[in-house]
Amino acid sequence: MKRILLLTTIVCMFLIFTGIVLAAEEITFIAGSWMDTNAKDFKEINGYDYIDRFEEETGIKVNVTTYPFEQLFQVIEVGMKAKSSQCDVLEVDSPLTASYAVRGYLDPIDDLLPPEEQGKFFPATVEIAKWNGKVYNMPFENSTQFMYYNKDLFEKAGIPFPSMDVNQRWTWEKVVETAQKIQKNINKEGETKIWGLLFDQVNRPYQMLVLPQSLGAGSGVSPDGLHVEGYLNNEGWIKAMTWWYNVNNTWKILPKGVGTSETIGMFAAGNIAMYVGGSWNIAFLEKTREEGRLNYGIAPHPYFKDGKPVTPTNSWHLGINPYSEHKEAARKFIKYLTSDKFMADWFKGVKQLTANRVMNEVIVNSPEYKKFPLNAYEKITTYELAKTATPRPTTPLWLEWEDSVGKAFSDVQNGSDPKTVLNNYSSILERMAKKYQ
Amino acid sequence: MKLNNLRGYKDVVGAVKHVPTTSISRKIIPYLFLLPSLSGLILFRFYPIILNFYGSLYRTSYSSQGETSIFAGLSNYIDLYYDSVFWNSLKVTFILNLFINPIQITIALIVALLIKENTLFNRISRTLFLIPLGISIAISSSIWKILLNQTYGLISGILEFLSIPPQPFLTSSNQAIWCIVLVASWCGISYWMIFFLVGLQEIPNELYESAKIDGSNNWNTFWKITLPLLKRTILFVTVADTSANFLLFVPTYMLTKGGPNMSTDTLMYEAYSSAFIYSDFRRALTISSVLLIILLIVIFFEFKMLSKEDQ
Repeated sequence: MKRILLLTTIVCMFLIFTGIVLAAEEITFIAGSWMDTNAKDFKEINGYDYIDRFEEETGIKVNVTTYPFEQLFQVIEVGMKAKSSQCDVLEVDSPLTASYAVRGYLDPIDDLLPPEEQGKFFPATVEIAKWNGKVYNMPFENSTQFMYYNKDLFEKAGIPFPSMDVNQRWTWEKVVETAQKIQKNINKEGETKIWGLLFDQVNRPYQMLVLPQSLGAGSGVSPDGLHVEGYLNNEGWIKAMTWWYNVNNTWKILPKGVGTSETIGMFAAGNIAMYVGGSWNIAFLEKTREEGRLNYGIAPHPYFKDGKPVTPTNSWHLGINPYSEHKEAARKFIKYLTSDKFMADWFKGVKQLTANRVMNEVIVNSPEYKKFPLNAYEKITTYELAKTATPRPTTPLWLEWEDSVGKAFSDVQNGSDPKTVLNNYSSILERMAKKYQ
Repeated sequence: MKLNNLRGYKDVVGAVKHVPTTSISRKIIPYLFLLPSLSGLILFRFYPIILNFYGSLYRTSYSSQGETSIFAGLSNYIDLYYDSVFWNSLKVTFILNLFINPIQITIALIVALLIKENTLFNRISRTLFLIPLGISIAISSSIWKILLNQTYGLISGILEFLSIPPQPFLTSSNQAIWCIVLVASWCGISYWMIFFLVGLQEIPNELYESAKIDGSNNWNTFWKITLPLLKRTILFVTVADTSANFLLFVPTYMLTKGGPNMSTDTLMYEAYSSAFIYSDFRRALTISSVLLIILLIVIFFEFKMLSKEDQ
């Protein structure tokens, strides 16, 4: 009798213990620090906390650990090199897909994005999530660029505003001509207080790559992602870089030495006539407009007269740590975050473009997207994401490529010869690519 | 006997008598005292250096299974030999050190000589000179970055006011390296000045008085008394400053990121880029090993030169 009692007690304790363990399954989500603000905005608009909702629905606890932009990459690198199981789900900068895949930093997740489901997402987001035919991360957010302009400066210089119509988008040639006119008409002789043009992420490939792409010069990497010679220094790239050189050194319509974090401030301060920047800037610019500090308009991204309209795209995706001890829970979390329902709420709350096309429905059905500035989403964004959005190259060399190409744009901006710079970085990158070949 | 119960000289002698005096224990005891700092040195200095050299002998291979390490002998060093970026970084590191070390040491010594007397003015000056030490180099680099900005920086504004065109301080290949020298020296000079001040205060005042009686002027006194008696301090400052500047990283990272045109791409920054931007830890380990060897050679010659002059 005693034995039966003892056995029953052990079985009960085992069941209780495993029950506790199962109920307390916990995953860690590593993300950028912007997710903290996004979570607050999301809750404010949608009335629920997205982590709490997932925990209630699944019983899986989620720890969200956030890091600033540059630290996030280092944390992932160091953690993955150490084969750490500390994190389960990670926010991945989508062009890093191939680089992370060859290093074994991501678990393939083809089952989460089967071919029949891929149509739900914008094509560029699916394209960049794959390497060697396998899906390595789930498209989550998305991005596009506008050309913001300062209405007061345009009026002061006597120049008509550019149209919001994508079929009447300006060419870079017209942008340069207008910038020169504005600088000449407004600035006093011998001083430059007002500048014609500025880019949001100046010199970063995300923003600048569309220049050669618009000229049909490709994305600077061979189709297999393993070579750059002849791709980064081809005629189109040299032409695009020469234009960039002239913008900075011949026409002098762009202020030098301005870091990415400072550009939006310069435009908001009224020192810039045309600002090519991300759609995410609307919230900040709207605040300055309401305060009466800036009167701005929105136009589609420019293109080269001899080329085609191309716009920057892609954003953060979600991946699974291959060393995770909670892969199934991690999959459930990613599935929840990329579901149609959640993506629609994310777009409503955070106003960040989503990789899922469901955001188009929100745009069409919400009255707030009918008036300025959010009408730019309906008139420009939906078109760009479907027609002109071109992803960055898919290559294991991305880390090296992004840094080197950024330096190349920066060197040309500072007055170096475009052809020499491109040849120099091509040979450097070709050497770096050897380890992946 | 507890130390806090000691009363006077006799107790102290009594306590010392308790120290074991056999020859073995005499030999062992000093090492026991050295053990904590020695183990720290081994654990945090020598072990990472050995690990660094060991790691530089391996190569990373990429396959469907992810990264794997393969023993590659000296092939990483051979790759570096054919790497133009490495040679450029080596050149930049040498140019930087050729100027920054003499500039910092000379100015630090001059400032220390100027404010060594204990007057009210000098006490205020010392406080002012120590201000840069109270600000971390990362913060001071950020401030200098804003000051030196070509478009909206304060220095450009002052130049414009003086009808001088704004200068591309951080965006010109010819000027950027001097900005690194300026920012590093702004912090470094104050730091090394403290060592010189201490060294100057150790020189007996009687020597200066007798030189004055003998009719020696300030110039002669400096060359004949101050400088020879400051040799040990100068040796220490030279070696420590050279090490610090060969490993200088923060101003480069904060101000120029190795640019423009790789004109500030020091070996230290290149090692950092390889490890944390390109995720190529093997190349970073190889560059760090080469940097360490170069540093050891330079310091060896500095020692040799200064001790030779001493004789």
